[in-house]
Amino acid sequence: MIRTGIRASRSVVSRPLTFVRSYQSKDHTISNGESLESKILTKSLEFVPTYGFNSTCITKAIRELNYPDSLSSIINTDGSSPEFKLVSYWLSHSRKILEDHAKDPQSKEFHSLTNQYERVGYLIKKRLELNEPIIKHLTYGISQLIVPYNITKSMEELHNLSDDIAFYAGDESNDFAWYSKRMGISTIYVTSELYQLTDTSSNFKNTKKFVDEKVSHFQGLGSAYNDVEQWSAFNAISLINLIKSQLVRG
Amino acid sequence: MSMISKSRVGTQLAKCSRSFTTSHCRFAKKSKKSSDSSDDLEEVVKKYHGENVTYGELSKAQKAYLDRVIRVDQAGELGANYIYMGQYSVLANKYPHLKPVLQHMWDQEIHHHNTFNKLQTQRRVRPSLLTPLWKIGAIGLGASTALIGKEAAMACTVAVETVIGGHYNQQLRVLMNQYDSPIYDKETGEKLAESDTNKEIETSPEIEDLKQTIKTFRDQELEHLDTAIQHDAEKAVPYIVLTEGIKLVCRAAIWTAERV
Repeated sequence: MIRTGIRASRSVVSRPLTFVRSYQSKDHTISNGESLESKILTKSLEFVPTYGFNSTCITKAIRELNYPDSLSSIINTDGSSPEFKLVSYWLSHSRKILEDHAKDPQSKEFHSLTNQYERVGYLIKKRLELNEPIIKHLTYGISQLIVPYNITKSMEELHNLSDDIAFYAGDESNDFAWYSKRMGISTIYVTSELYQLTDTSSNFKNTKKFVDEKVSHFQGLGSAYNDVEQWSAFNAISLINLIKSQLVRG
Repeated sequence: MSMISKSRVGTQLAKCSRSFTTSHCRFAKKSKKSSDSSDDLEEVVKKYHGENVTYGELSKAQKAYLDRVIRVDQAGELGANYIYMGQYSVLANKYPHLKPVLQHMWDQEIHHHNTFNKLQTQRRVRPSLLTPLWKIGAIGLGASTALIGKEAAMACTVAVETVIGGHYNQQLRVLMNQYDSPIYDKETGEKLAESDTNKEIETSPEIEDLKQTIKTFRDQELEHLDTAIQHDAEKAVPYIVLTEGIKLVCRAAIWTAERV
């Protein structure tokens, strides 16, 4: 059992280091099922609001699931600390919740939004809501993420999140805008999360306002870029025509 | 005696599953099974088609290759689109008889470009990071060869379409040979034996569609190649230098667009 656990966990652990996910298949959907590692970590997340991002949560989860104590060793097969494992699993788990919410036809409020940027704002706020139960442990969690050894993995997770948000908001950019949009969303998310840490208003009202403001700035930036592009194309064409007319005059 | 006949049935079965005559195969299997138990008949005749099967997950390497295919094809079609845009803007008014020819080829390239754009967003593949460079480079290549003359523009088309056609063929070869994945019954979730599959369900509609798209596009690109040769491409003055130089540039661009 332990051996299959390790084999399965490796497939979860060794993600490619590029910061975007690869090809998403439409028809090839049967996967190998949940690994032992993710079972334990999912259970551990239930203890995070009480104990924080601490290896105690993992120990508790293993006890709760009636697994042998030695299984705690499969959690850090890739050399990262159990605390970081827990934080990064929590991040991808929350991302999954957000994705399910966006896909769910029941989430009427989200599907009634038609503007792409409103949808981005909605998804960011939805994601920040998931921080609320563990908000007092979040500072410690973030400090785990920015340890130099972990930073590539945390950046990857952040970009996966912004890629998800952009995709479910209905982004259809095919050129460089694809990159700038995702970068913008990542920036908004990180700043809003830092804002949320110090936010004392009831129900995090100020954070939500902050997100809305940032997203509308971002929208302004996008349309400014498009305007400049259109303006330069117009000028380039008129320049060519001017040169042509001068040549004809001789 | 009975031993011999049994082995003969066995080889016949193997032959059947290798060649795709599934109807024969099913018949042979039915007759064999009926001697064991006549109740299983219904299960044996079950015909699998697109609706009642699902496919196993693609491997990491298979996904990575599809990722590259879509990225490079999108960038390539963007390039082709912009090359024709450059050619058209220079040549269309100078040579009215070339206008419909160029327009036809350009329209097809726009369709190809849109198709891959759609695939890129649906399959969540990242576009090439150098997209702005491809745009400028392609429009520059199209316009500059057209400025040399219409023969040079056609020689440029010859070079580009030769490389693209070859590249599409290479992709088709990989998609044809390397994309067998396990097939499962949709209701029971059981993996199908090799003898139960048929040609119709061998590859998932996803891969099959991609192959058909690439095939159609390749044929259209090669049509453009013929058109260019009919319109005096070979009369361009340093024909060999021009075509070989552009081919080299295209190969370098393909190599880069796959990776960056």
